[in-house]
Amino acid sequence: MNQPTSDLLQGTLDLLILKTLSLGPQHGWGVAQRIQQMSREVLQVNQGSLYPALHRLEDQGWVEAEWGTSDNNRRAKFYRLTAAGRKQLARETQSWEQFTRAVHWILQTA
Amino acid sequence: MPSLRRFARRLRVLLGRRSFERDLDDELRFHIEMQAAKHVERGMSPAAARALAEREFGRMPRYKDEVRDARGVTFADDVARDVRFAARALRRSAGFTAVAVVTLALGIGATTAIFTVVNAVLLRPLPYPAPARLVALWQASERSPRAPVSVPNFRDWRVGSRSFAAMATYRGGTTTVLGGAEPTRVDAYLVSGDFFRVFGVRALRGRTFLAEDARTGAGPVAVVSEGFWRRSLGADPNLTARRLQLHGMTFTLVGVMPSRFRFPEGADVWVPRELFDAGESRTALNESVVARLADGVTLAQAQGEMSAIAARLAAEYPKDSMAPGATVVALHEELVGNVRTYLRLLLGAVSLVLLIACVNLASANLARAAVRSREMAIRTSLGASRRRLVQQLLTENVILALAGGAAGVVLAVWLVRGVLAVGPRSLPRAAEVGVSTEVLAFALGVSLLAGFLIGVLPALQVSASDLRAEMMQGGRGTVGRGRRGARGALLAVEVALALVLLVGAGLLIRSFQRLLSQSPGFDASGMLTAELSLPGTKYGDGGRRAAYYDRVLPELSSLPGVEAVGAISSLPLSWGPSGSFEVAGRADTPDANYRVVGGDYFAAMRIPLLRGRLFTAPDDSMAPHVTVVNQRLAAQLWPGQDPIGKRIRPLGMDAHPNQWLTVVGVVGDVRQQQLSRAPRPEHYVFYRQRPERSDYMAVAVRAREAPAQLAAAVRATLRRADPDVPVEISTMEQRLAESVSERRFSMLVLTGFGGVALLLAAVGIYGVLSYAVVRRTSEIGVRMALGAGRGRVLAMVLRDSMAPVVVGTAAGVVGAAALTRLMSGMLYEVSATDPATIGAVVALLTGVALAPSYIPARRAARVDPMVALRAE
Repeated sequence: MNQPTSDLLQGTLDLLILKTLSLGPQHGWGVAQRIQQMSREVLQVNQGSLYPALHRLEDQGWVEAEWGTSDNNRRAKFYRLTAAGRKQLARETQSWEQFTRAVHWILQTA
Repeated sequence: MPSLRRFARRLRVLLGRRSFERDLDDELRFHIEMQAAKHVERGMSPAAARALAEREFGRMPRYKDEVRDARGVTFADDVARDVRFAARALRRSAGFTAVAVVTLALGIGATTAIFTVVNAVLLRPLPYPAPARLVALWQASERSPRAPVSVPNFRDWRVGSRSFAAMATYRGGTTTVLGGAEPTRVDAYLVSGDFFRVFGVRALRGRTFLAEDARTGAGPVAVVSEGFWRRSLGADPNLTARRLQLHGMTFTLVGVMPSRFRFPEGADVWVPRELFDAGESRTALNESVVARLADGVTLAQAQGEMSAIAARLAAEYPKDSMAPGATVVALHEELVGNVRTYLRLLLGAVSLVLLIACVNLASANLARAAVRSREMAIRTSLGASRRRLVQQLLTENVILALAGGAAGVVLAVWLVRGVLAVGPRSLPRAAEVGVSTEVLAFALGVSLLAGFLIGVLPALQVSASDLRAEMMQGGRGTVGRGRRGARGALLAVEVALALVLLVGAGLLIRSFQRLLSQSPGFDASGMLTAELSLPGTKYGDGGRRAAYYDRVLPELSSLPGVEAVGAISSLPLSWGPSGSFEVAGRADTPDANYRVVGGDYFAAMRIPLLRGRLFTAPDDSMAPHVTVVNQRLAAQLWPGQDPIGKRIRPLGMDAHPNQWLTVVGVVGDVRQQQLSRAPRPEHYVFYRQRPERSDYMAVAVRAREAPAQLAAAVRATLRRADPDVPVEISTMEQRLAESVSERRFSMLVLTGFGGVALLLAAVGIYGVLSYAVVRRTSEIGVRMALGAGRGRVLAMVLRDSMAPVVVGTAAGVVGAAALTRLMSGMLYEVSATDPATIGAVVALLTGVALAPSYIPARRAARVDPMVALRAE
C-alpha cells in the first residue's frame, strides 16, 4: 500500500526530513528520493509539500541551506542538519516512539 | 536567543526579497527537472516526462505561497499592504486624521513628559553603587519620627552597631566662600570622615577625605563639586594650590567630586566636621546621618538593632533623651518620599486626560465606521476575511497612534524643560530628569495602547455586524441600536472621567485658596528682603558682627522711601534652628525655635506686640539678657499666667549657656516653615546680646512704595558697608509665593487638565448629538409628519443626548468620591469629598453639556418633514 505523504501529519513529515538529513546534506529532490527508498517505497512523497516543510525547518533554525552543485552539475540548494536540529530530531523521535507505543497498546486491547 | 535569530533570519529574507523569490523559483524548478530526468531515464519522452513531473509536483503557486507563509513573508506583505491601505484611508478623511494626530500628540506628549519626571525621580535607583543599601538614620520622638542626631549619639551608634558598613554625618547650609573667582554663597557641608566611603563614589580629580583629615587639629582640607570647580575655580587642574575660606578657616582643596554625585542636593563644598568644635551635648540635635548597610543585613534588621541601641542610650542618659528612639529609612525614600503622592497625582491626572482623548477619538471613529460600513460590506463580499478587515482597521489606528506618539515624544522633551523651569523649585533629583530608553519604551507602549483603544470598537463591530444587511440598506439606513448605544456609553465614560478630574482640580483650588487666606502672622506686602552672610574670616567675633549691624541697620533705615528696617536670623517661611531650653522653676526642657533679631524687625513685619515691650537700645551686652517670646510659647509654658518676668535658658544654642533670659514681651505667632503648618513656639534674642547666630541674617525693609524700587539703594548701601559680604535681594511676597509653589503648580496643572477634559467632553457631546440628528433626520421627519410638535422633537433629541451625560455624571461623582481620597494628603482644610466642590463641578459640567446640545437640537426642531422624507 502506497501512502502519499499528504496524508501524513505535518509533524511527521518534519521528522522524516530531519532524519533523512541526519544522514548527510541533500537537496529537496534528493530528500524526497531518500524518503521513498528508506521507506521501501511505502511512502510516496507528495513533492510540492516538501518545500514548505523544508523552509519551515530552515526558519526554525533546525536546518541550514547552502547553494551548491548537484551530481549532474546543476545549481541546487542543499540542506544540512544543524546542532539544534539534531537535538530536535532526538526529541521528535522520542515522542513519536511514545505515541506509536501508546496507539499500539490501545489497538492490542480489543 | 533562538527567537532573536529567527527574527534575524526572517529579516534577511525580507530585505533580499527579490533574490529570495528567484532562489525559490530555481529550487522548485530544479526539483521538476530532476523528476523529469528520472522519467526520461525510464524511457519517457522529454515533453511527457516534464508534464508528468509537473503534475506530480502539484500546484506550484500554492506551494510557493506556503513557503512564503513559512518564512513570514506573507505576514510582512499583509502588514505592508495594510499600512498602504491605512495611509490611503487616513488621507481620505484628512480632517479626522489631523485632529486625531494632534489630540494624540498632546495627550501622549503630556503623559510622557510627566512619566519622564516620575521615572527619573521615583523609579530609577540613586546613581551610586548598590543604591538600595543606602539608608538615612534619625533620632525619633513621639512628635518627630525623624529628628536630627547629636554628635555623641552618633559616635555611640557607630561604635555600638554592626549593621552598617559605614556611617557618616552631614550638616550644612548656604554660606559665603572666598577663594574662587569672587565671593559666592554656596551650599557647604560639614561631613564626618566616612562620608564619601558611604556612597562609594570616587573623586573625579584628587581624592576624598582620609582618616587623618578627619581629626581635630588636622590640616584643613576641602572637597568641591565639579560644578563649583568649573564655575568658580576655572577647572584649575592644580588643586592643592587653591585655598578656600569659609566658616572662619582656610582650607586646601584636595579633591573634586563628579557631577553625578549630588549629595546633599546642590552641595558644592564638603569639609570635615571633625575640624570644628562638635560640642558634647547630647541634646544638640543638629546632624543628619547617612549610612550603608553591611552585606546581608536588611533594613528591618538594621532598624531593630538601632531601636535597641537607642533605648539603651536613653536609659543610660535619661536627662538627655529628648528623642530617645531611632529610625532607619531607605535613602531613596528619604529623598523622594514627600513628592511621591504629588507626582503620582500628576501622572494619574494626565493619564485620565489621555484616556478621555482616546474615548473621544474612539467615538469619532465609530461615526466614521458607520459611514464606511458599505465599503466594508462590499469588501467582504469580494472575499476579504473578517480577520483581515479587523487587522486593517487596527493598523489604521495604530499608525495614527504611532504618528501621534512620535509627535508626542518631541513635545514631551519640550514640555519637560518647561515643567522643570516653571514647576516647584524643590523637586528632588531634578538634575537627573531627562528622556531615556525607559521613557521611549513608555511612549511606544502608550501609543500602541491608545491606538488599540481607539480602534477596537469599530473593529469589533466589523467582525460582528451583519454586513450584507448593511450593504442592502445602502449604508444610510437607520442608526443601528448597537452603534448608538456604543457611542452613548463612550460619552458617559468621557463625562465621568472629566468629572473626576474636575473635582480633583476643584479641591486643589479650594485648598489653595484656603491656604492663602490664612494669615501668615506678618504683612508680606511691600517688604524687601536682603539676605546677608558674614564671612567667618572677617566676622568670627560676635562683637564684630554686632558692630556690622549697628552700622548697617541705621544706614538702611535712613534711605528715602524706607518706613522701617529690621533683621532676623531666619525669615518666616524658611527653615531655622531650634533647640531645647530650661525654664526657671520647672524640671522639663521644652523645645522652641531660636531667632536673633535686630532693628525694628517686628514693626517692619507688622507682627503685633501683645504684651510687654520689644528690644530697645539699653538692651546691650552689659545689660541683663532679655527675650521676646511668641504667643504660642507663652500659652504652652505659662497658660493663664503673665509671661513677663519669667526666665528661660536655651541649651547649646549660643555662647551663654549659664545666663538666663528674662521674658520682656510677647508677640504674635508667625508661620515659620510652611504656611500650612501651625506656628511653633518661638523666642527671639537681641543681636547685641547674643550675636552668635547672626552670621547669617536677613534684613527686612518695609518700603513706603514699591519695594523693588529700593533694591538698588539697599544693595549699594550694603556694598558700601562691606563689599565682601554677598547680598541676595528678594521680596517677602516672592518668598511667600515660592513657599507655596508646589501647591500652586499642582493646582494649575490639574486645572489645566480639567479644562482640557471639559473641552473634550463638550466636543464629544456636540459630535454625538449632531451626528445623531443627521442620521435621524428621516425619523424626525416621519414623526413630525405624524403630528409631533417641534417641542416634542426637541425634547426627544435632548433626552437622548443628555441621558449619557446624566449617567456619566452620576458615575463620575461616585468615582470622584472614591478616588479623591488618594489625594487627601495634599488638601488643606478641605475634605476629599467636599460637597460644595462636587456640586459646583456637576453644575459646571451640566451647563457645559447643554451648550453644545443646543445647536443640533435646534437643527432637529427646524427639520422640514417634507424635505426629510424626500431625502430618504
